[in-house]
Formats: sequence, structure tokens, C-alpha cells
Amino acid sequence: MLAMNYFPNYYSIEDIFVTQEKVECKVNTRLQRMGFLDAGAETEHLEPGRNINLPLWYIKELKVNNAYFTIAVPDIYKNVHKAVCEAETTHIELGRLHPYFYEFGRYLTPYDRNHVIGRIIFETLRQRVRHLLDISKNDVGSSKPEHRLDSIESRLHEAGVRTNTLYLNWLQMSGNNIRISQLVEEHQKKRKRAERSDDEGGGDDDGSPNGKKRSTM
Amino acid sequence: MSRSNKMFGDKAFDLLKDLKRSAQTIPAFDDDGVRQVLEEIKAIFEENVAQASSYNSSGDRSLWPLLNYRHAALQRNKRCLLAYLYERMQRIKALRWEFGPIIPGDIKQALCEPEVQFFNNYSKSLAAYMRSVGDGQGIDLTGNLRPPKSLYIEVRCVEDYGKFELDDGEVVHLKKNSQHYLPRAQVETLVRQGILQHIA
Repeated sequence: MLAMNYFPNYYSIEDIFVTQEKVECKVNTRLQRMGFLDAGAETEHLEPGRNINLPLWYIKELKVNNAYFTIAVPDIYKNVHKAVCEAETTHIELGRLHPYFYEFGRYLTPYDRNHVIGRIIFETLRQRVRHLLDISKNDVGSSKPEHRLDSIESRLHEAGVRTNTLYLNWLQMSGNNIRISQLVEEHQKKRKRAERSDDEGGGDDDGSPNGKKRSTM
Repeated sequence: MSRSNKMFGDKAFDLLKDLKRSAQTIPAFDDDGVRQVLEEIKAIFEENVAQASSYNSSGDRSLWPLLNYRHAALQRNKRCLLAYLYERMQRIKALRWEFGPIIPGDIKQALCEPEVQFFNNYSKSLAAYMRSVGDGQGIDLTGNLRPPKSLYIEVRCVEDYGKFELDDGEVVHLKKNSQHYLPRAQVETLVRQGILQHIA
């Protein structure tokens, strides 16, 4: 499937989410009539020396050494740096730090003058992937470590748990039953939830399937 | 002008946020949001055209960064819109495989008119393809998603369905909480649709 390609394709929603992130930039030259980008500015033009946050989708259209802005690398990567050196990345709550830690870092590598981000994200994943394997083998789908994983990691975790369950089912020769389709199940759950809230709120609603009413709930 | 309140591209991004929040199901088509994004695109484009023509006459380069920024915003809006439509299309395709050719009414209400048409056409071409393969007999590609182990399976009825006629003419009455021993191939769809439950 196209959406599963590693390199972000044009329609990838994940990638659009990453490129929506804001990066701090320093203005280098006077930019005519671009004052609207700076919330604190009173002037119509963007004056040199100001720091503003610009979305990544704009910055990546510019050349790395453009004359207008200097891009500042976010602090999160500096903070992780220390942990990487001490090989203690497994306890970092990466998801809380940044939900797209790796992808975001990948976009920022050209702007990093010390050339450390590339190494940081590589080392971080290398150190954490073993731990990831362990936790996906152990918990069976129920407890999800919410804030500890970055989006790529939680996808790996999901895949790990799923494969593990399939493997266990195969060993026990179970799981051959025809299952209700996932989408149908979701839909039924949603309908039941809506019915319950109908009962609580409506009172004399006779519970007849009334799709129009539900979709507005 | 839209420059005072929000950044360019934020409305288009909201569309995708909405889509992502409902991971599996399809939220109602955001007519209003799409129109607003289209208007934003149009406004940006017109400003850029005006500026580009004034540049042609005056040769003043000082507005280039602004032009550049607006162009990036335009591309961004376009990408968000297309991704929105594309992702919905993928989910609509999945509907055909999961729900079968008839989708529940409340889901249908979430689709816009061209999307309903797309679903019908997709359904039609899938059916035509399934008829054409398999030595003239046709194969139901949506069936036997897991390798079958037995010809007959034990099922329990989850909701009142009514009469169900098997291929050999026998009629079974599917009532809630009743149990039956039925040919696997013929009831698989009903299990997938959540009317029957397969018990071991």
C-alpha cells in the first residue's frame, strides 16, 4: 500500500503532520510586507533580528543557506544528545518530547551545523529498538505505553504485538474462527455508544435506527 | 483578507486533523472546510498574480520572499486537500471489502455525492472482475479470507435477522441467541457483518 512506504509520499498524512511543526527562525534581512508572520510585530515589514516560528512546510521550500532566515535547531535534540552518549535512551519519554521525533529530526538535519542530529536519531533508535521488541513480546495488546513512544515506534509496537498474537494463535492452533470484520465492529460500537447517550439524554426516544440524529451527536 | 487571523494552510490542516482523529471510520465530508480552503487558495493566487505583473513592469525584487511564501502556502493547501480526498477514498474502498456492496445508512450520510458515485463504480468494477475470473464461474474474493478448516461451522445469532435461505433450498430462521450448524461458505458474509458469531 502506498501509505506504508517508508519515504513519505505526497498523500502521506503522517508527513503532512510532521511538516506542520513550527521551527524557530531568526530573520536576517528586512522582508517587505511579511510582518504578518510575526504575531508580536507592529510594523508591516519583517525586521532583521527578530525570532519567529515558521512551519516546516515553508522552510523546506527554501534553500538551506538562504539569505532570509537562520534556522535554530530545537532544544529537544540537544537534550537527547546527552542520553545518547550515556546509552540510556530507553527511559526517555520520546512521545512526550515530540510525537514525530525521528521524522522531524530527519527534516532538520540539513540545518544542523554540528552534524549531530543524524547521529542522534540513528543511535536513539538503535538503542531503543531492542527494548521495543521486549515490550511488544510481553504485553498482549492491552497496556499501551502512551507517552513513551514516538509515532514510528508505536507503529512498530503495534505490529510487534499483532505478529506475536498471530504466532501464539498458530502455536495453539486456535484463532481459526471467522471474525467479525474490523470496520463493522467499530461501526457497531459507535452505534451502541450513540444509543446509550440517546437513552440518557432523549428519554422517550424509541430507539429506532435514526442515523441522522446520531451523526450529529 | 485571511492574513490577520491565522497562518496560511491552517484550515487545510484542520481537515486532516479531523480525519486522523477518527482512525477507522469516515467522518462527515467537511463541505464548508473544503470550500474555505479553496477560497484561500484562490485569494493567494490572485494576490500573487497581481504582484507578479507589477514586478514585470517595475522590476522591484524586494517582494520576492513574500511571493515565495505565498507560493509555498498555495502548494501546501493543495497537498492537504488532495491528501484529504485521497485518504477518504482509501477508506471508502475498504468499506466495500468489509461491509459488502451495501453500506449502512449513517455511513452513507457522511459521504458526499461524488464519493457515493465512486463507491458504486468501485463496487461495480470489483463485481465485474470477480465474475470474469475463475473459469467463467467467478470467484468471491471477499470470501475465505482465512483458510477454511471445515465445511460446516457452529454459529450463534447475535441479532434478529429473519429467514435465510441456503443454496439447497432449506430455510433457516435466524433468531437472536439461536444456534445453528451451517455451511461455512454460505454464512461467512453474515459473520463478517456481525449478524452471526462463529463459536468453536
